[in-house]
Parts: sequence; C-alpha cells; structure tokens
Amino acid sequence: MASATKMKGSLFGQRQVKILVDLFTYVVLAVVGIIFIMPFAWMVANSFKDIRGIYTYPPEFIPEVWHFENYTEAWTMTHFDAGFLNSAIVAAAVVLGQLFTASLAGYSFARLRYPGRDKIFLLYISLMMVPFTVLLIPLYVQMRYFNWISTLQAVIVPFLFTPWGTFMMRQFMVTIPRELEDAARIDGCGFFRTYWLIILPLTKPALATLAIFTFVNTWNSFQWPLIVLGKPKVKTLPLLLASFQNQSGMRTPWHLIMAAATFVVIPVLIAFVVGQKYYVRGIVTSGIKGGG
Amino acid sequence: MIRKIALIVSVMALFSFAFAGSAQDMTDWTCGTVDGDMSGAITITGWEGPGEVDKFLLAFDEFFGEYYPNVEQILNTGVSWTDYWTTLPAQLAGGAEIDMAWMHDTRNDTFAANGWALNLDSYLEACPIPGWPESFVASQVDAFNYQGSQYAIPYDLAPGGLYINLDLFEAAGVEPPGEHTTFEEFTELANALTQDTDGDGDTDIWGISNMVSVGRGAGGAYWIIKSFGGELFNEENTASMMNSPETVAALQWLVDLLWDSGAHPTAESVAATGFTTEFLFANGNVAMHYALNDAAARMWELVGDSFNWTVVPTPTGPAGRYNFIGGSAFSVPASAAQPDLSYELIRFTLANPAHLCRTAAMGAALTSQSEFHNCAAPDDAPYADAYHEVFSVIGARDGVHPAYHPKYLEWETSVWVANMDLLWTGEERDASVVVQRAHDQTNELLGG
Amino acid sequence: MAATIKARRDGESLWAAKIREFRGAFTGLRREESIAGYLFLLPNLIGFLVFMLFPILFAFYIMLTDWSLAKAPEFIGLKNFDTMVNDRLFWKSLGNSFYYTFVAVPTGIFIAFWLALALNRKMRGIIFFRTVYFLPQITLTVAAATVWRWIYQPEIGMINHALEWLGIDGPKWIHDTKWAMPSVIIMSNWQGIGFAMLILLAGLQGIPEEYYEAASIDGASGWQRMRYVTLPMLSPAFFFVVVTSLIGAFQAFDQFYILTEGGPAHATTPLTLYIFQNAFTFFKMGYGAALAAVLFVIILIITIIQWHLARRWVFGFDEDE
Repeated sequence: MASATKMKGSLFGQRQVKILVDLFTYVVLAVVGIIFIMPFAWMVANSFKDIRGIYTYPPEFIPEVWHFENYTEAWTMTHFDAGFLNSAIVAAAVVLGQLFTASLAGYSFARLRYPGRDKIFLLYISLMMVPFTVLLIPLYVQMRYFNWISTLQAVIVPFLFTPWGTFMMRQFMVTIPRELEDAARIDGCGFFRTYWLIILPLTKPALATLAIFTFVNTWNSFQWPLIVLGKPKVKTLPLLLASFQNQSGMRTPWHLIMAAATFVVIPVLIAFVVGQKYYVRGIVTSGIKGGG
Repeated sequence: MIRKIALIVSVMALFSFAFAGSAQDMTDWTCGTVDGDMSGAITITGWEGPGEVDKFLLAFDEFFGEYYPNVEQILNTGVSWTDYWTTLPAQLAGGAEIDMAWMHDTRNDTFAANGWALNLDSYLEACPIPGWPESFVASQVDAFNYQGSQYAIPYDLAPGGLYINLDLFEAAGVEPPGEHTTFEEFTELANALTQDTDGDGDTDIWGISNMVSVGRGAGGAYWIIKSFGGELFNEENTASMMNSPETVAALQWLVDLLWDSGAHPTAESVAATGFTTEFLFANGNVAMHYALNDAAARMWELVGDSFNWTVVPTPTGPAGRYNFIGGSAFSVPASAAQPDLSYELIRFTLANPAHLCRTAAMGAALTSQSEFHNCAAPDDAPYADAYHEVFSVIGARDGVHPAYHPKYLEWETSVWVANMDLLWTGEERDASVVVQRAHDQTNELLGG
Repeated sequence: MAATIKARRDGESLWAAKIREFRGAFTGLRREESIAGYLFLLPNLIGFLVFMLFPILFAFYIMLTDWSLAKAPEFIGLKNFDTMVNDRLFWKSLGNSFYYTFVAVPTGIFIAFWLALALNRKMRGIIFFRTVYFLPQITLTVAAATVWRWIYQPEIGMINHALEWLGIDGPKWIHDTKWAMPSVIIMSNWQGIGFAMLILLAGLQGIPEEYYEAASIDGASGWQRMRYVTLPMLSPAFFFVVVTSLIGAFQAFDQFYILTEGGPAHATTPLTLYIFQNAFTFFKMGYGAALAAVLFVIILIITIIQWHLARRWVFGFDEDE
C-alpha cells in the first residue's frame, strides 16, 4: 500500500496495472496448463470407461457410459487397504526423517563454521551422483544381513538421510538474515534452540517443498520396493498397481488400473495442497505487501 | 540316505503302478521327500499377470490343499516383463531364497550357465514326470536343456501364425493364404487387401500388420530369414553368417512390405492407436495380423462377434517352411529353500491330467501333447480346429528360433536392434547396407 | 579455505597451518560452534556410514572386476576402462547423455523460472494453477506415455496438427532417430518442470518482504527490484536447481524407458540406460560399474566447476569461513 500511494501520479493506477497483469497471467497459465493437465485428465476419464471404451479409435475423451463401479472393482481386486497403510507408514516415516536430518545438516552447512565444512559438504552431495543401478545388489545383500527383506524397514531406514534435501535446506538457510540468528544467540539461545526456534520457522516454504518432494518420490517409489518387498502383506501401492498389468497389453484391465491410479494419487494431491499452506512469506512483520 | 532312496524307489513303484491303472486324481502327486505336515512358506515368482496366471494358481491351490495344507504360498506374479528380468537376477545375486521362478527360452542358457537355475536331471530321474519327455513338444524340452541337462520344465509353446479377418477377405474377393503360400504371393495378397475405403488418401485397411516393429528382437524375423535360406550365426555361435544374399533378401522383403507396398502399417500408424497392432486387427482395420498363439484368447474377447476370423499358417519360403516358436517354463533357482517341494509343484501343475484341459482352455498351449489335442482353445470357439492345426501341428513342427547363446541378449540389443531399427523407421531402405554393418559388429562381439 | 592459507605464519608448512587452524576451531568461542556443527551432521553421517558406505565401496571394487552377477567377481584391474575406449555404444550413449542434459536443463529451468514468477503472484485460484503444473509428477507414467505417444503421432498427433495449421510439415518425432531425443526432452521437461518450479517458488516466497519494501521506498522500478532483490536472493535456490537438475539429467532414466525404450536405433539410449542394460540384461555388472564410475566422475567435475563459478553469482557463497 505504501508503494500504491507512490504510483498515484501515473496514467494507470497500481490497481489497474495489477488487474491487467493478472489477466494476462491467467490466460497464459490456463493455455499452457491444458498441456499439463491433459494426461492426468485422460487418466481420470479412462477410469470411468469400460475396457472397450478405452480401445475406441479414434480415442474419445468423455466416457459414453460412466462406470463408477470400476473404483470398487479396482479396490477389491488387490489388497489396496493394506497397500495404503504400508505406503502411508513408509511415506510418513521417510518424510519426517528426511525433514529432520536434512534441516539439521543443512543448518550446519549453511551457518555454523568449522574446519573442513565445505569439503564435507561437497563429498556428501557427491553421493547423489552415484547411479543407483550399481548400488541395488550390495544394498540388497545388506538388507538380508539385517534380516530386513520383506519388511518396511528396508524401504524406510536407508532413505532417512538425503544429500539432495540437505543441499536444498542449506541453500534456503543461507538467505536468512544473520541478524535474526545473532539476536537469538545474544539472548542466550544454544545452537539447537536457535535452529529449532528461529531457523526452522523461517524455512517453512523450503521444508514444505522438501516434504512434498519426498512424499511424492516415496509414494511412487517402485524399483527398490519391487526387489526388496517380496511378501504381499508389505507391498506398497505402486507394486499393487503394477501387479494389475498383463504381459499381453491387450488383456490388461486398463480401466481398473486407471481407477486405481486415480485413487492412489489422491493422498499426493492432498499433501500438495496442504503443503501450499506453508508457502508463505518467510518474514511477515506487518501487513505491507510488495508490488512485485 | 538309504532310507530316503528306498522311499523314493517305493514311491516310484507305487506311482508307476497307479499310472498303469488309471491316471485319475487318485494318484499321489508327491515324490515322498517332503513331509506332508510341513509348515512354512514357498516363494514363487513369475511375470504373468491376473487373468493369465490364474490357470496355474488354481492348480497350485489344489496341490497345496491336497498334499501340504500347512504351506503358505508367497506369490509374486504380475511383474512386468522387463521388471521381472531385472528383479529376479538382482534378488538371486543378492542371495534371495526363491523356490520357483518362471523361465523363458531366451534366458535359460544364461541362467543355467550362471549357476542360478537348479539342474533338474536328478529330480527327473528320481521322480519322473508322467509322459516326460516323449509326450512333451521336443523343441520346448530342448529349449530348456543346457549342455545336456534339463534346467526348467516347459509349460507352453508359443508358435507364430496369422490371424485373418474373413469378412475383409470376402469383401476383397481373395482367398485366405495357406501353408504353401509363397512370400511373393503373400505380398500380392497383402496389397490386394490394403484399401483406402473413404478415398481421403490415407490407408484405412492394411493387408498385414505386426510383421515388424521398431525395437523388436531377432526372433520376429528369424523364421523369415530361415525360410529364405539365411542364418544369423555359425554353428558354434562364434561368428556371423548374416551377410549372405539369403539373409539380405529376407530382410529386404520385410522392408519392401513396410515401405514399398504400404500394405503394412508403419510404426507411426500403429502409434496412432496408442496401443498395439492387435487393436487394429480387433477393430477391423487389418486383414491379416501376425501374432503368437496366445493372442487367440484375447482376440476372442476383443473381436467378439463383430466379424468372422480364423487363424492360418505363415508363408513358405524358397528354403522351406519355418515359423517362430517361443516358450516359457518353470524353473527352480539354485538358492531355493524348498527345491523338492517346488519340483513336486511343477510336476503336478504340468502333468496332472485332472486339470490340464482347464489350464489349456484358459489360454496355455501346453507342451504336454497328449492333452493338447483335446482342449487347446476355448471349447466352442469357431476357430478351434484351425487353431489346433496352425499352432499345435504345423507350428510345433516347423518352429524355429535364433540360437539363444549366453551373448544373445547383448547381441540383440547392441547389434540387432541398433541396426535393424533404421530399416523399420525408414531411414535406411537398403537391407544389404544395414546387414553388412550388423555382420561386422556381430563378428566383433562374438569373436571378442 | 582461502582464509587458511592467508593465516599461514612465516616458515610454517601448509599442513602445519591447517592443523593449527583445525585446533583453533576447538578453542575458545569457536569450539562450541565447531562441535555443534559436527553434531548436527551426525544423523546424516550415521545413515551414510551404515547404509551407503558398503554399497559404494562395493561398487568401486566391482568396476575392477568381471562379474556376471552369479559367480564370484574376478579381478581384472582396469580392463573394463580399456574396453570402453572401443565400445561404440558407450560413446553413443555418453553423447546422448550430454545432448539430453545440455538441452533439457537450460530450457527446463528457463521455463520453470517464468512459471514460478507467474505462480508467485497473489491471485485468486493460484493454488489451483500450482497444482495443475505439478500434476505431471503424479500422473501414472503409463498414462503419460500413452498420451504423449498420441501427441507425437506424425499423422493424427496434436503437435503435427498444430504445425500443419501453421503450414509446417512436422517431423516423425519419436519414430525418427534425429527427432526422438527432442521428443524425450519435451516430455521430460513437461514432467519435471513442476519440481524446479516449486523450488524456485519456495525461494521466491522466502525472500523477506522488507527487502522489497526498502527497494520500493528507494524508488526502485520493477526491473530494478528484480535485478537487485529477487535475483540475488533467489540465487541460492537457483544454484540448487541448476546443480541438482544437471545431476538429475545425467541420471535420467524413466523418461527414456517409458517413451522410447532407448530407440530407435539407440538414438535415445543415455549412459544410465546403457549401464542398466549391462548390469541386468547382459549380466556384465563389472563393466556396468565401470561405466557408472565414468558417469560419476563426469557429474562430479561439472558440479565442481559450478561450485567455483558459484562464488561469482550465488548469494551465501562468499562468506565461507
């Protein structure tokens, strides 16, 4: 509002300019958005068709008859209730674990000073660069050694620490004004209290981003769980979804797969929208809004 | 040990006696080495998905229900083909205890040579499978034999044939091809059937589909190469035989079918459907569709009564008649915790006449020929006789596949697909140029 | 690091200076900070030591062996690297990896940046649009691949229809060895842009309001606010996106696997897919690990170069030690 007063002399008021820019943004976002939404919409549309409807050529987008029963059929065809529970446990554990370890280490790399810090950092994030293909077998051997084959630990514990997330947290924490931290230190806060009371609240958007990414990646994780989770009762959702598939594509119940894929995605959508709540300005000291 | 052998011998005696009398479900299908009260789990892994694997799962349930009620089955089926062949080696290399695994003829030698699959010879000797090997299709028994030992028991055979839309033949006024149709006649026929029905300049009905596709392995073309008199490798699989005029002629025939006559949809036309070419056939856009026998059950579901169709044999070449044959089997990994139990399960599943007909009717072309004749296709399917003739008789008789030596999979990816794709995308139209390059690379790979 | 050398005393060796520096870190006021610094790394360090150290050391060992996965690995020294020199598919897939990375990453980040700016605006329904741009991340890959195959279809496909309307004769996209890679790049940017967009968005959201206020009060124009507030404050997030996108692009696998399976004629086989094929299709795990080591070194070198360049443009890099 402070800036709005400054703009009063110009031909268009700040308000009109904003409306015009908003309108333009809406149009661009909507047009480009169609490409982004289409495959998803196609997936949802197909989840209401019967198998012949999916094979109609040329393809028809809107189902002729809406088969809502696909959802109940897909649900009962595999043990999705157990799958949801397994996936939820894994995702929750990995997300919380990564948020904790990554923010701690990120703070250390971003703010604290000690010998060898940047070398350790580079070494640590170089872990991201090792292709997972060559780690599959030794990790499997290790899981057998721990007796963790076909347990949820095998898909949780090795993934509780994250070079990627640590790197991200570091990058966001370096932008926090040092004065805030110094003030807290002067008030007698220890390093952990400073991290917990000052740094964490200020990195909410970054934490939310990391949480969303980790959630999506864990929720969709396929290759490693496929190898290490042999027993049906520990299978996660992507494994159940994949087990619908048939070798001969034509016999695969695509309509049920699409229905299952749709309800499997709902928790991710919820997580994403909830995560948006934390996309708020880092430091809001007053109601003053910027013009940009 | 002696007690064990005595037990086995007595069970065998009992068994052969039971068989001499009647091969009904009164037979004891165990081999006597596993305690009937045993409790525990058996881990089974395979690529077949729901709808496909049920035919075997029913048999598994019957077996355990009857003989080992306390054993829990841990089933990992419905893993996609590519994922299956990544997951299984990773698990085996990591020391996983898997008791029974689906095996494929393309992989058998590699798994046997690597020591992953159990040599089943001693099992076959101690507790023979009824009808083994004489009533099983010889080519399939052989496909899972590595250096004189059996490493898996084949459960089906998959020969190639042509699915034809009779209505389109009638409309075009031409006769369906037969066993003695030559490749030249076949091209003419395909051309005659290809039509632009609405006259907009785009083909609406193709004469033939699925003879080639981008990324496809050598098995899809090998039978044509053989029919023309060509070969891929020498006898010892140490050198290429690809640069012969016969091999070139065979591949050029495919190239011309795709790019000259326009009777075969190109990769782009197929992609337009979003699915496979099977769909084009089921939708009435293709007069002849090349596929394996297992497509029959799907066609039956997909085509319904929208047109009349049947199956016919693939054409005959100057060097004779050959068709592709592939097949799958059950194997016991070397690291299995319950190898004896797995063997019994395989034996029951593949040789118990009480359920073989049902298994066959559910879509498997069983390798056990005795049962194969009576129940190869869904009972009242109008194409049942043709199916039997094309796949079980001619298909099994003329079946060939490339030599699946231990370097085969690497060769197929790095030499065959790398070069042949250029023919199927139309970037190269002269087969001899591509074949020469593939020939040199093959020698490099096999010789090195 | 520069500080260490600057503080060297006369006649003191580099190592002695470093050791003194290290000791200094554990005395007086800085002691507490150093200990806290290491302690904060501990959860990660334990995780790494317990779960990744063995697999990584193992991978480094097997690159020196001939290993078919089944029998014990046989030590062959550097022979795998020797084989690589004459391996035509290695060079081709390496070239593909570079092609993909250096086209997909800049275009992807460019689009993600503008998207993030647009989605950072305070407008009604902005969360809906953010969600829309994130949807590709969570769309079943089979569904995505199927739809993209339709989009790329040369005759009835959406892109060529649009091009035809503009009077352009469209290419054969995924059915042509020259156009297959651009096709994969477009699809993977479509799929991956949501991540980069979200990080940049979080970066934009993290810029304190006060900075903009101060700039406005000083009379800064929109462009000046962008130049002197947004870009510098966004640079750490930007740097993160650049570095991780490059790493991610060199390791990209799924998009190739689902759309083209590496074809036609290996036109879209990146090094990652070739490593995978060697390991699990050809059963040449030793060679696969050697290829992975090459990929690792390439990514490492590129990252280190960026690290050095970062001192010039990334906020928070100049205040080291």
